[in-house]
Amino acid sequence: MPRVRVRSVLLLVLALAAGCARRAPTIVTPAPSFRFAQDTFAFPNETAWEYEIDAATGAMRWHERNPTPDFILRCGNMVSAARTFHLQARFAPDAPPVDDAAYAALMRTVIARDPRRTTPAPDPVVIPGYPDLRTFSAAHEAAMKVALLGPWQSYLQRGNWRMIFPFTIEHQRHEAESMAAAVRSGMTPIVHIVVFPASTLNHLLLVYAVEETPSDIRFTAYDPNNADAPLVFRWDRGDRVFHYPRTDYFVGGPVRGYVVYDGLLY
Amino acid sequence: MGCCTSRALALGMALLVSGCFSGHLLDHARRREQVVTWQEAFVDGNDLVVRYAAVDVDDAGRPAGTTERWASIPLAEVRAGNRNVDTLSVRWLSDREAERRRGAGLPVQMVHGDTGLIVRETSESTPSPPLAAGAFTRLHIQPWVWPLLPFTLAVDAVGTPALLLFAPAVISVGD
Repeated sequence: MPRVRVRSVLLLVLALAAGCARRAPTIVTPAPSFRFAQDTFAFPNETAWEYEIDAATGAMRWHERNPTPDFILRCGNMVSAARTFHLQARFAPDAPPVDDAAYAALMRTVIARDPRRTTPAPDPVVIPGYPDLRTFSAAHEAAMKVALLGPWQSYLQRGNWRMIFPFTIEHQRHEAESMAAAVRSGMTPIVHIVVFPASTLNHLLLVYAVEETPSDIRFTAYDPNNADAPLVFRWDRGDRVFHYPRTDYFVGGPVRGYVVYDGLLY
Repeated sequence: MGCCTSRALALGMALLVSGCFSGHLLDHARRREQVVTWQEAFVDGNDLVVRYAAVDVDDAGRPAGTTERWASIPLAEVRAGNRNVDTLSVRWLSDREAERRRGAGLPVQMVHGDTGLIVRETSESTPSPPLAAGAFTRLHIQPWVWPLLPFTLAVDAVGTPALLLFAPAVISVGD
């Protein structure tokens, strides 16, 4: 094997091992701004566990829900589908409605599209009779949950390989800054938030707004576990780590984050 | 030959240090000293010198002790304000150096604002812009980790190739 090729293979192996494979800059086409009240699903991804936070100690306990909810472990399915609907579907409220079977087919068509696309599609799927995803998914909740497919979509998310490798501070800073730049340019990156190996959090969010201060970068995100309000997490410039807020399913604190549904490796 | 050997060694080290066990062990040993209260401040030459109480938190955000610390920051950066805290030139001082500088320093008035430390260099001067406490967060690695690293490096030497095989499988099967 030529020496140059050997070096290339070694470099690729090194990049994989270090988990530092970085994405090339993306050419940006302006996208419509993401609106939480319109561009998200009307129902949440439910959690398999019920969490209780001890008010005195702040510690979190959890136990399995009984009975187990039907629609769980779909955070990856929901955020990737929300972005696909946002960029690759067009709602036409004034167009005449179609029957349930036709709507189900439209859902499948949208969700089958490339979830890695970060710019508006030139040929969006037209959804007649509804003004936005929120209304559409409220009216066809059962069909939408079927169209979103099973938990294996989240289990087998391509970028999951990265979570087991440690994240350097410099890597995390790069993720925060590049994510902020992407959001400022109108994109909606999907971020995988992990606490590993503790595994107290393993979740995906869709980021759609950013605010910078001297102390931190605050990201506003669609959290599929909560259909009622967006979630704000932040990159703390002093601590040099992402901080996740306390929620119904996480006690709050430092986490790691990296952008997924983006490029070949993620 | 020597060149190739050193390159191979460098590659091997890079692979191992980025490995699962060593990296996560280092994460586990990481501490962040975060400012809790400002205690004292004075101007020495071109620097603002501050003493503060800090809480040491582990990588999961749990408190793991308290300490007192001295640090200095160029006055020009304090007066300019509105700079990202990770771009400020904070320097941590030993107690000995701080005591020496305190002798020559001019005390300043501190205002404990919600958004950070505000100082007045003289009673007539205008208050400085808020200096975010995050500028003084100090990261360090607990020393107990160093003797363990040879063992985790050995584990990574075995485990990293398996993880490398695993990663492409996830990528190719994934979504």
